[in-house]
Amino acid sequence: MSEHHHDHDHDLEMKKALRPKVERDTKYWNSLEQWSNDPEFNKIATTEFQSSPLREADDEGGWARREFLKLMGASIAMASAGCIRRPVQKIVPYNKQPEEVTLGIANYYSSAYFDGSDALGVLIKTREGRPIKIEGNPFPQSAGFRQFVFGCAQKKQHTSK
Amino acid sequence: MHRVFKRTAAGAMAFIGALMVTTLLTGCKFQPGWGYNKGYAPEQPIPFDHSLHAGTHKIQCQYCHNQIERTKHANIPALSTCMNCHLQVATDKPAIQKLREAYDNGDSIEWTRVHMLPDFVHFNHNAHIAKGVNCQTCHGPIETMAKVQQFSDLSMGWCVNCHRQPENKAPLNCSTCHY
Repeated sequence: MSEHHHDHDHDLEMKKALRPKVERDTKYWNSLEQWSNDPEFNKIATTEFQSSPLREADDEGGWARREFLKLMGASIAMASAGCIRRPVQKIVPYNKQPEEVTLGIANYYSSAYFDGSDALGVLIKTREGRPIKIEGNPFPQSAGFRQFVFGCAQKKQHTSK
Repeated sequence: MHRVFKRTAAGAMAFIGALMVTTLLTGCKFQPGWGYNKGYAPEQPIPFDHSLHAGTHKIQCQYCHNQIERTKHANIPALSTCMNCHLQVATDKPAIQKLREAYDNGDSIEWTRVHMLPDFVHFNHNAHIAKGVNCQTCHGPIETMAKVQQFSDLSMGWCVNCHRQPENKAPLNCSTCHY
């Protein structure tokens, strides 16, 4: 690690020696530090508009940012290259399958809905034993169809009050 | 954290990276059926052996997957179907005992799904059975598989290829499958 740094500093010295010498214009100045040729100011001014790699010794944060981004990008690329398979799905069958159940085909059951005064015929659509839809039984004798819709509307009115 | 890796280390990493990418490409991307999970053979909770049941004992596919002629799903048999035989057969094997335990407790077995189509496409099994398409045409030689694997890539091109043959008289409408 120390040898690493020594190598690095040597490079930096060479780079600094090769940098062009900037002549300062003493006629026009923006601040008192510039006018008085403050060494602090000069140090900042020479590297002000340089990109972060050239500013290695001066601005450690810039270089670290690049390295960080490179590592992040590489790791994301490698991680996403590994996500090819779709997630695992399970199939859970019945323990004892009821005879009337056919997977994917709905069974309709007729039932009655009592709204306090009338029994209205309803048709219940079930899939694998689970009811998913209730509608009025359109079979004429059951008087369910329109009555059921009417009854629901009434109920809604009552509850909204 | 200045230059993190020395030149030689960086070179080695680049080489290994290139090697990895090449392996990935030739092994996966350029294989036919890539991305479609062809050859997917997951571990099942009970190591059900099709080559024993369907191959050696020649049990019909539709004995267990019995609803395939009525509905669009090919059903995984209920545990009661297994117990039709396994209440007496091979009750000393640990796999059968595990099955029996689940059956007695009223639990079920969570099988891992092998063949899966995306949600925007609907495949109808009973239409194909009615036409006389063999199970093995799409699912491959299941009767030789100890562990079920996805034999075909189940891609749209593969399906349409068969539908296109004039002797099959199969519909080529988009809404046949995408509805």
